[in-house]
Amino acid sequence: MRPPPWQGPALPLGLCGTAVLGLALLLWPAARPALAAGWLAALLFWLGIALGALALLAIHALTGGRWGTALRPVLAPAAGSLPLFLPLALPLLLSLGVLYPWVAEPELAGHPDVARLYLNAAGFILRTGLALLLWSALAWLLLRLEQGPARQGVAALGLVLHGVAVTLLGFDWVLSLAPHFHSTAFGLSLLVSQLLAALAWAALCRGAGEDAAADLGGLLLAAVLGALYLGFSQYLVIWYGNLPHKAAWYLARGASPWLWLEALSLLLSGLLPLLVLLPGGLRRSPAAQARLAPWLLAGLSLHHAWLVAPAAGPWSLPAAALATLSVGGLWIGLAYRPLAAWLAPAAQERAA
Amino acid sequence: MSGLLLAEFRDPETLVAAARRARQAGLRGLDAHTPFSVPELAEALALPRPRLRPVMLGAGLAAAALVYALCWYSAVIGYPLNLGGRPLNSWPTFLVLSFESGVLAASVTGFLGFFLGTGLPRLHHPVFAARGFARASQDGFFLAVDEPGLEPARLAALLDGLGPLSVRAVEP
Repeated sequence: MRPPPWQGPALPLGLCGTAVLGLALLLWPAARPALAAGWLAALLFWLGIALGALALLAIHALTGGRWGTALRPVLAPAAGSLPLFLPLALPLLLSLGVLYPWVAEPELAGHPDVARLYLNAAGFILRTGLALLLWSALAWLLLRLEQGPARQGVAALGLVLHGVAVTLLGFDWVLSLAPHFHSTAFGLSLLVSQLLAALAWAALCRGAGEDAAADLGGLLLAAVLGALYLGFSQYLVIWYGNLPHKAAWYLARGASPWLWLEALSLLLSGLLPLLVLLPGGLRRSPAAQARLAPWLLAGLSLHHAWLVAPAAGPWSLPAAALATLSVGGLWIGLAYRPLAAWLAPAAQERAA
Repeated sequence: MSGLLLAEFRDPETLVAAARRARQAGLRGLDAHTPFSVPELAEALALPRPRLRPVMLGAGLAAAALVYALCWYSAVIGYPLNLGGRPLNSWPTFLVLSFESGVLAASVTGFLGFFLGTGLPRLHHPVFAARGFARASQDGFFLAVDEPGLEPARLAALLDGLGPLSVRAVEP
């Protein structure tokens, strides 16, 4: 494995970006919705990599395979960094009122009981906190336990809970931006795109080496197809159903700037990886995978911006770019230096 | 004598080493028989790249185009029905059928092409006459050399140090 890119300047860059965002918040209070939406898009992207890494570790605990052992040095710090997202989610939790329309108008939830029991600020904060704590505990257990029945049990139960938690997170963080819109496929679609993000991250860090590169290539191709399949079937069902409150969500995102954003995202994280990964020679080459990975990750990041930004206007796009830099800088800087150093002796002990 | 020689090995690594050595010695008519796919063998035996993939891709694309054309024809020209105001050319629904027929056609082509490429209509092969050759589908790794005039003793000398379980000529 080579260290993640920009590891040296990551932490200062992240701090500077956060400072600029904070300054923007003080200077233009009117920009709060855009800044909050940008931060949300950035959180979805980087948390997605960490959660994908956690899910891959859990899957590998159940299935075994050379790829998991080879990717562990990349995946372990990413999954172990999950507690870091508790403070990183604070800006989002502090700006619920400006981002989510149901905070000010509880009647948007559709039914008074929904607003009272589920879709309210306290519930949102509670669910987000519980989900992040659950993921942190799962990551800690998966990284600390020896391979055996106990670890497999944690992985199996953890994957079930992970599916529920990702679905709830998707509903709360993304879909409740438009309270009338709901899609049951969204959670699974988010989960698969997180797996894809973690695999692309591993390819970027050349985690697989020579011997597991073929496995990583195959997994990347399968994840790209899975993400495309789920995204398209969600669109198809809504297109065919042709119901106003669901079509409105896609209509808002099919308007001029957003359509091009998603088209670019599909090109980078859909078509390009398919074309590159289809020929066996390129699919098995670690160099080709590492060259593909940044474009794939950029495409996924654009997709998250496409999901979130239309709710807060075009100014959330530059905010999302800056926030992606800030959250990413903080995450890379903290996850891959102290955490990797702390996890490495444990891994060596296990190997010895 | 047919000149077909068989050398049996315990594991794929030795077989690959033996194949490399036989190729470097300039032996012709090399082939291998293994219970499962050994990726390094293609390079060790200098086998030509199979041309199956482009054929599969072509078949998949052709089937997808054909099915899309079929959907388009029946919905736009054959039976133009207004279904809830949707356009006649409802491409999102057609894409699913096209994609799945493309995958089906590509995989069927792959299966048929593989069987034809391995000579399926022919039910016999000279190596079947060798005793114990059935282990090639269990745990035996065989190197076949079809070089006229090559004695088993010479092949055994060439493979010295690799410890073949047996080196023998196949009686036709």
